[in-house]
Amino acid sequence: MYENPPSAAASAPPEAAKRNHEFKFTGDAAEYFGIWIVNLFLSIITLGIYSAWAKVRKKRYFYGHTWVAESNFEYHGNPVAILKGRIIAFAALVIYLGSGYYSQQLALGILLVLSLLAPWLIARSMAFNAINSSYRQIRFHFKASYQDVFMAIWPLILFVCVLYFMPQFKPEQTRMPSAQEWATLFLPTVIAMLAYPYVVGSIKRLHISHSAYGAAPLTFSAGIGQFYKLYLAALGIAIVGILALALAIFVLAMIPVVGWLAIPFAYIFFGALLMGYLRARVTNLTFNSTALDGHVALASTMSPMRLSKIYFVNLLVIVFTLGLMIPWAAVRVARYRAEVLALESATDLEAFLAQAGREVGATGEEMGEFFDVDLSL
Amino acid sequence: MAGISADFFDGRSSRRRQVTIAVKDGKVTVSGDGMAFEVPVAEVKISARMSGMPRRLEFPGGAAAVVHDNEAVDRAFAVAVRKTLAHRLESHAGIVVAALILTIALCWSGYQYGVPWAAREAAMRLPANLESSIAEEGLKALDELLFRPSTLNARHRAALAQTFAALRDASGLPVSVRLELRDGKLIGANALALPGGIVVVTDPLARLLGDEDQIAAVLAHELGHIQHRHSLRYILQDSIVALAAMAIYGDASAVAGIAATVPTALVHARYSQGFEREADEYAYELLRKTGRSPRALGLALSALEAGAENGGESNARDKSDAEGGGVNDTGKRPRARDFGYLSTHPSTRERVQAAEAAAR
Repeated sequence: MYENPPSAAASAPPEAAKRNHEFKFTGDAAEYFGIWIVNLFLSIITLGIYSAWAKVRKKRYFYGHTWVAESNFEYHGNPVAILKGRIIAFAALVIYLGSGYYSQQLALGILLVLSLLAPWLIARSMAFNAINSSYRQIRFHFKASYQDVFMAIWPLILFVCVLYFMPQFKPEQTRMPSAQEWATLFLPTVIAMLAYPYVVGSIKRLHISHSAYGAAPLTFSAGIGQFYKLYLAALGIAIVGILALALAIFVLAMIPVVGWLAIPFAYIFFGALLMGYLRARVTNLTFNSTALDGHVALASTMSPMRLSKIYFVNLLVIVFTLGLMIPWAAVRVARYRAEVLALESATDLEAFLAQAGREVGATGEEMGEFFDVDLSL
Repeated sequence: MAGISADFFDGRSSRRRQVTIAVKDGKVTVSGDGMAFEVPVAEVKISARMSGMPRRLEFPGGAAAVVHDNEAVDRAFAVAVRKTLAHRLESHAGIVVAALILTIALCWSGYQYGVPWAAREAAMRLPANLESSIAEEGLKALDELLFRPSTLNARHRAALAQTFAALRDASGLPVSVRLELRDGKLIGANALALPGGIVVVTDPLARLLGDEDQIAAVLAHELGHIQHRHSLRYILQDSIVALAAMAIYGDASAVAGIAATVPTALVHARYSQGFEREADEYAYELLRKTGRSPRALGLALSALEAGAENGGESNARDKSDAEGGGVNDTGKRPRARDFGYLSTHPSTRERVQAAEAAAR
């Protein structure tokens, strides 16, 4: 169960406490289950309207139970603003799906318009999340222009453009496709694969280097090349993994019943392994490249194997309980993420925070304008 | 009353001060760490209670005190019950269990009745010409990929057309609903209903079912798919289930996305079985109306199954359905057709028995 963190640093040795502050997640699966099921129930009976309030309560729970240096984070999002964003997102989805029913080209055109709006929407939603997060009564901030975000995600927009302007490929039985047809068939996929690490890395860089804690700017030191290195390693794991998976399925398929039933587990195992590796490495690279005002650094020591194991067990449990153990799984991941995260300060953290975390004024008026579009759904 | 201990933040720096808070005579007194001030209770904003997390008391001007003792805050400030409603719901064991049971019941009945009902109501209200372009496009695509022109002789073709026209007129469907004959090698003896009103019958099926009543039974079944707008309802049901699964599972991070595909697959199978039964029932009715026995459908199914077991050229399978243009189970081997619940069709024996029962 929840335990009160000591409100004074008296128990810890003063020198060590000053330099290295570990994060801690104090949420509890049974307690979060209550919040989750009530959220779900109320969201269903209000036909989704309560989901905006549910999101706020969920975020408050995960922020509020994340502690560092004897203080917790807080989330202040306004549910009405989130509801507005969700209605807009839902309308866009219905228009996109509905137009696909009439014409594929029209649907792609709508997707193109949406992707041109995306930089603005991303900037707004990152700003909304930052301004509504606080630590020790000092808010975070995010400020980026349309151009800043566009530069981070342009390959995605290019991808949609290629889909839109490319001639539709029509398979014919009589002959092999020509070189040009092969190109139109694979060009979008090649663009997506080559650009993916760039987009992930540049969104992380954009997010962190345009954020601030009060008046103290956050900095990001990792280069895009480091993300490419990481995804290249993941590609190697994926290739070996797919071969091993194919071999495993081939062998299991020869064992009647028991072997056949084991095939989905092999698939889940592979998925968890790849996802665990990528998430752990991306998280470490991102946090370890982040610093506050050049004085305080974040340090994440997540183990890909540990995270894969957590994902594997989570997936199995979620599948076998038809989703009822989702709260338990979410708390497990949050606890591990916090466990391996720390703040490293070159000087006394308390003294630094008292100085650096100055609030910048006049944010109250802006807040009403922003709305959350929840692109993560 | 003893004071409540709290962490105080002035909102301008992230310096933490340890203070004591006392409430008396409508005033809040904050003191400690070399500071002391007083504000009216009415000006203090108290954050909503949630789990064991500390409460935040916000003072005018951006300062706040963080208090760990939730009970003390509720008592000292006499926080209205209304303000802690969500917390009370979430932390009350009985309510959590009730929410759990009700949520499962709602999901189950939504899956059982709600989604099919909503899709049917929506499909019946959408204009009919919405689907007609899909049928024409779909037939063109199938002609390119699978079909060859029919090789049946003119007399056979005319007889089929006559049977079809009689059934269509009896069913009350518009005259735009038409029959197309094709030689479809890959899909063997098969009949499909394309959304928007085109019934396709393959040559092997027409040859296999020599009896006019049996052909009529198969055509009546396909007209059932068109009458009940199964393909449109199928698309709508799939979209509703996918959205709901996304809403529930999406909450738990992308990892659960993999898990979300499991219920979707089960739902898929169940709904198409329901459609097949509905089309069968429609066929019984139409057969009776045109002076035939519903038994003809059972005989047709048995003949098709026998054809499938003989294998070879005819390669007949259970009749296909209307979903997504009607060729979705092309890759399936004939043997795979009777896997009961996980199959997209009810088992043939079950359907033959149902037809026998309807004939009585």
